[in-house]
Amino acid sequence: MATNNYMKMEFPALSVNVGLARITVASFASQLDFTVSEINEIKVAVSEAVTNAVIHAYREKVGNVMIQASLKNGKIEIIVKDEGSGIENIDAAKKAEYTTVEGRMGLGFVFMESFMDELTIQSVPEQGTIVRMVKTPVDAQIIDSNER
Amino acid sequence: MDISTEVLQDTLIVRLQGELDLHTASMFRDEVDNILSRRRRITKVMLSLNGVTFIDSSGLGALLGRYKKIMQRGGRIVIAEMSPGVKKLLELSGVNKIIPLFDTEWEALKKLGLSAISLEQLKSNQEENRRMYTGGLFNGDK
Ligand SMILES: Nc1ncnc2c1ncn2[C@@H]1O[C@H](COP(=O)(O)OP(=O)(O)OP(=O)(O)O)[C@@H](O)[C@H]1O
Ligand SMILES: [Mg+2]
Repeated sequence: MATNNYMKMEFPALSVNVGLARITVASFASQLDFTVSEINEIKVAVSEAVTNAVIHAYREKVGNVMIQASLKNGKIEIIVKDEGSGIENIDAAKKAEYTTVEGRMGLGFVFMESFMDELTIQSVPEQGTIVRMVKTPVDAQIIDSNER
Repeated sequence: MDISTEVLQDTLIVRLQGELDLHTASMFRDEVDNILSRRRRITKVMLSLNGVTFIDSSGLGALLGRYKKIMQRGGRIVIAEMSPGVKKLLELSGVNKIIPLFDTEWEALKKLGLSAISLEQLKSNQEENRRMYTGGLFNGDK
């Protein structure tokens, strides 16, 4: 079993940093036995969370995005945090096709939810949003249930 | 993100390489919309995603945005050649129900109704450019 490990990163909410964030978290995640397709799912989830911080959280000013990723008990936990506008209605925001920006798909939270094992959203209007996601490699889940 | 474009009569062929996300989606959008507004005769678009290694909701939104654009002038759009990861997202998002997907550029262009002569012309362009060209027009046409 890999030892517990964590990483933190912080950057201004600029679109050019979205790729950097997902590649960094994905390569950190590869310390666990994720398949190529699971790593791609993690990339999509991180991309969605960070993109939301860039386009929704900071509309007038450019603030920062904070990411913390930790490996604990064979799982990865990813936290993406902003100090932006916050989400008025989280339940509505999670629905497919719900968007407050014309021309967007309203799929970000849907992808985060379907690609990660756990998704929790905490948000306070005018204070910011914390998105927490957890994922376990499928291989490990099978071994786990065999042992039980 | 690498974008290459080719116009054949009323058809615009766009080949994308790299990662299609918030940052690169705007490059893609501007490039395609520029050509569409300059050349009013274009009514068909084929997007070849052969070299696209990553896509997220911003990328999907950009694809759908081009669909809306081309529909406004009564045209058609198709997508060809995607990796399994990209295909999965096109299906999960339901984009595949709006924009038809094809495994090869050849099939996609045939579906758009490109004449045999045009396809021949494309093939010879292709052979001329072989050394520079990295997309795979006739990959699946073995
Ligand atoms: N970090 C955030 N800060 C403020 N509002 C947010 C944040 N993340 C999401 N939202 C709100 O939740 C809505 C839904 O987010 P979601 O990512 O599901 O869709 P979208 O971003 O609108 O579209 P897509 O992700 O498909 O491009 C957004 O339209 C926005 O109003
Ligand atoms: Mg989003």
